[in-house]
Parts: sequence; structure tokens; C-alpha cells
Amino acid sequence: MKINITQAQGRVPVAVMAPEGYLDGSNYQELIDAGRKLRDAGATAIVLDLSSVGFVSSAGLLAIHSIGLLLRGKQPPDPEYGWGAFHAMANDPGAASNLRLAGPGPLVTQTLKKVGYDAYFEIYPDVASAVAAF
Amino acid sequence: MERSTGKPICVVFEAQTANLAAIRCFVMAAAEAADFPREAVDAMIQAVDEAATNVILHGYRGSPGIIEVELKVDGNALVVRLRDDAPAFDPTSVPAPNLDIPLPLRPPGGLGVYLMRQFVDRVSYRRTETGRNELTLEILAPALSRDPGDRSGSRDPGRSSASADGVGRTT
Repeated sequence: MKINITQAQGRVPVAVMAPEGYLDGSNYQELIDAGRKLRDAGATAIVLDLSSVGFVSSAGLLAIHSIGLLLRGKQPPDPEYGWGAFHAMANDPGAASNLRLAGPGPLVTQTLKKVGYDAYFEIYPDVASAVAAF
Repeated sequence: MERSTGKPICVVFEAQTANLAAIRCFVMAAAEAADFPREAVDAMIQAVDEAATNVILHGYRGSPGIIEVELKVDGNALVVRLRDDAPAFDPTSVPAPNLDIPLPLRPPGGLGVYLMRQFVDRVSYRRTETGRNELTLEILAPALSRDPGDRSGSRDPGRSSASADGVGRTT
């Protein structure tokens, strides 16, 4: 999976991750690894640009949540745990505060809403507005 | 106008996550060729991906195996059957999460199954006579009321109705 990484400046420095294609069981770990590298390099705020992602499965949702946790200094949840992977997010709403989502298309937006991500992550129509919101 | 029942189209995939994209492409091509609305096709793709991912990751658990994906138009229903030789697992036995219960109190597991159920109208499972898992996903589409030439709801209006019948294999 190709993931473009750029830097932007809101009120704080923001890393912008822009994966291309799809997020599914074959590549979700790549997104988590890319988020971990950014965190290790000092990133504290990330915008995940979903405008070039046409499909997100439950594995992709897990990757998104994992990056939110990594930014909070926590370990990603065990993928085997299913809904349990989301319990930590519900118990720690701040897990989503350093990760913002931008530009999801209609199908991806529908999937995000099916599992209630729109209640936990701030979702913006584009990268510029997501960066500006930090 | 009701769609006519078509012959099933079946493709066998090796059970690898690298084939998930190919499985989705197969469902998209076959369902769109059958002239189903884009929304129904997208929903079926999502459900099939979740089902196939479950089989690959939780059924075969890294062991070699195959997934047979069969798509059929049955009247106004888009029907996809997935067959595999992994240990018996009935996704319909996974309790649906009670969304009235706060998220922290919901039991773990079943996220993919939950999403699968969200995107299709009917999910059923059976263990076949030959000892295979067979999962059936169905989406009911509205009856065709337009002129058959008006396919504004599909991604590729130029495609004709499916009549293909065959089995392929991808690795």
C-alpha cells in the first residue's frame, strides 16, 4: 500500500498520512506501522487523509483506531478481540483527539458511521480543514 | 419488472488476504454486470470482504486453503455464497451486539460479522453434505421499474446483463 506522508502546520505541527487504494485485511498492519513510525519520530498530531481510499473493512477500522492509541502512547489492540478493540476507545475518548480523519468518500463514510466512528473521531471534508482544527 | 434468475458465476480463490482485492473485484464485476444498483453492489462487496477475511484469518489461520465465491441473481435478490474447507464456523451464531448497551460493556468479538450483517439483508449458514462451510449473503434490490436501457444507477452503463456461467481460479 502506498502511503504518502507530508507535514503541515496548524497551531501545532501536523503529520498528514494519505494512504491510497483500500484498507483491508491484507494491508492494515502497514498503516499501523506507518503511524507507529510517525509517533516514534515525534509526531503528536496526525491527519489521516482518506480521500484516496475507496474501501475500508473492519481491519482498516482497527488500523485507524490503533493509530489513535499509538498517539496516546498506548499499544494497538489485539485484532482478535473484535469489539474489544473499541472498548479502550470508548473508555478513553481522548484516544481519538490527536488523530483526525479527512476527506472520506461516501462508501468509507458509511462504514465509519456503521461502527460509530463518527462519534469518536473528528471527520473533516478535507485535509486543510482538519489541519486547521488542530 | 423482476430480474430473471441467472446462472451462478463461481470463482475459486486461494485463501490469502492478498486475494481480498481480487474477491472484491469479482463481486463488483459480476454484480454490476447483473445490473444491480451501485449501492447494493457496494454493500455486497463490503459484506463479502468481511466474510472472506474471517475465513482467511480465523478459519484457515494461515493454513493453505481455498474460498469458493459464487454469485447469482435470484429474482430481485443478489446472492453470494462463500464455501470453504476451514473448521466449521457459523457466523450467524455470533450474537448481534446490543447497540443500546454502552460500548465498553459490549462483549468482545464479532466486529466483522457485525459489519457483514449491517450491509446485507440476509445471512445464512449451513454445513454442506461434504463437510464444507457455506455462507450465503443476500441483498434484495428494488424491482426494475425503469426502461432496461436506463442503468443510471450502475457504474458502467454500457454493460449488459450477466449470463456467464463458469468456474475460474485465481492464485
